[in-house]
Amino acid sequence: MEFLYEIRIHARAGQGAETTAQLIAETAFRCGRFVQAFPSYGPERTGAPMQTFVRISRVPIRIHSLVYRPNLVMVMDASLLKSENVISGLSERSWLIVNDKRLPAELKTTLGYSGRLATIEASPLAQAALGKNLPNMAVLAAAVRAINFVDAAILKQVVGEFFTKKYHEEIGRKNMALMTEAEKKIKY
Amino acid sequence: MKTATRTILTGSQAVAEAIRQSAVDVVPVYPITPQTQMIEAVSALAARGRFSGEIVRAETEHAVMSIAVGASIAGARVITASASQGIALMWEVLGVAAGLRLPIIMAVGNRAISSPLNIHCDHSDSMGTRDLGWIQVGCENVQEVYDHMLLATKVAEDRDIQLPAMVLLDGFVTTHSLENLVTLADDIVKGFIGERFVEKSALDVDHPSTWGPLVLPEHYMDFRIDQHETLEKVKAKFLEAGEQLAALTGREYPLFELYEGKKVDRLKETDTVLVFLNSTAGTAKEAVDVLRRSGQRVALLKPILFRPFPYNEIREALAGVRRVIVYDRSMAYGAQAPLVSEIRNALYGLNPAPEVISRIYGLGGKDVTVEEIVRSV
Repeated sequence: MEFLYEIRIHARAGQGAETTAQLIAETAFRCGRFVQAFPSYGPERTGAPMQTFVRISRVPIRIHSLVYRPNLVMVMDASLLKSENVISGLSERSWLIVNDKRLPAELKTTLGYSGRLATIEASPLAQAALGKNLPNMAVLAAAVRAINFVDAAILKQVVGEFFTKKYHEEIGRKNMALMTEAEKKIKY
Repeated sequence: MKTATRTILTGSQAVAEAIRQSAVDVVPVYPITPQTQMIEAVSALAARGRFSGEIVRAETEHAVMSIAVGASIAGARVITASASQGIALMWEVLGVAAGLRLPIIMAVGNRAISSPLNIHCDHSDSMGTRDLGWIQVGCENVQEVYDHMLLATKVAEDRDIQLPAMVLLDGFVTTHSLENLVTLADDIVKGFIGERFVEKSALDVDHPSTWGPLVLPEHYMDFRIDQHETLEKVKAKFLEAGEQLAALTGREYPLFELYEGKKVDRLKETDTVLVFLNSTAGTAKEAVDVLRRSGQRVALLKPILFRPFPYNEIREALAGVRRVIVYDRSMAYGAQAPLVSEIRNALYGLNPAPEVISRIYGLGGKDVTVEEIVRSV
């Protein structure tokens, strides 16, 4: 079986989970991988819980179902820990990265999860760097720091280019700086 | 000169890229989930000066297809996109487009039909239009979306065809999925599709013409027979244009795909055939691999050209197998589901005849996994 890396992102619609998935895919693509990134909407309303997914593979990806046994789960909003089953499909060897101020040990007990877990208090970091609670790039940077599933330097470059193109250069720089800051604040 | 580019696009962006490269004259638009990203992407290309066709914002989908008909009669190359209730609303004009023999192209982000309201994928929308005279071409992934947009345009505009075509991609699953694909250089696409052949333009004031007049019973059936016979010719044209495109892309464009652990021209070691349309065919290939590893002789048949339906070719491909399981992503209430009906028709009278089993899956976006397909065999 060829190696397939699968990611599930839990967020609220409007928190940039679709962008996050696309930036991961773009980075993996630049590293020569086959990718798939797609969202799963519920009622398609801002603030409603939603998920996005990424697959990264060395061979073409044919499967078109959702991701049920992810290697990595990212949670962009700690309020989702209560309403969503974020540990669904995770094993001892999976990773869970949560935007939360609690320490990983405490969160593991709360969730009843025994795999690998890291937390990052991404919302205040994003607030300070961007003036808005848009935690997705901080959580992504923390995840890549912990797991190294894509090249961190290329990712930062992709993020910088994306925000520069979508808004302007300053936003690109701020997001890259936010990621560098987040890499230092991750708690294992 | 670079002839091809490896890139990543969503299904919707692939539609927009094909529209840009096909030098489309008119794109009438009305947004509907999950098609909206397609027209947003075309508009973004226009805003950046990369697409110079006329984008016409309409008040309804009925108006969209009416504008498409008008522009096409004038001689324009017209492409639009819609889904679900949008297609339901334009149903009346879809028949007009086909009856007037206008090669309008429409990308469909397949979505369930109300009620209950649902924005997710199934095939009820395009299946509801399958007998209106449009060519229908399905897509498994983003690469096929791009390729089939070009292929559909080429076939629809063929001098001997002149019929509208739908390119079908699964809502959200394919429209919103970012995937790897290879696109062709602009001039190669231009060379492949060429200029639209226009026999008569309504704007030719020196030779005034009437379009869509009343036809009395004496002649009405002649038009319908002619339309049917022309649609039947699409199979050969599809293969012919497919060969030309294959020479440019290195990929193949059959009427349907056979998968027996790998792509094959004919089934050799198969007992049971699964039949799936569009994106789930990809998931089913994984299931076929799992089943074959456990010693079961299972294969996949993925119809690509759904209208015209290649009855004889599929009958020939399935002759000799023991069992065919047909998976429909739409229903026909009070009747057999659309795809299984066609497969049963194709197999009728074969001796020995394969057992045909009908399964319904994935309505309103219900997800389907490899494991579920394996268990269903």
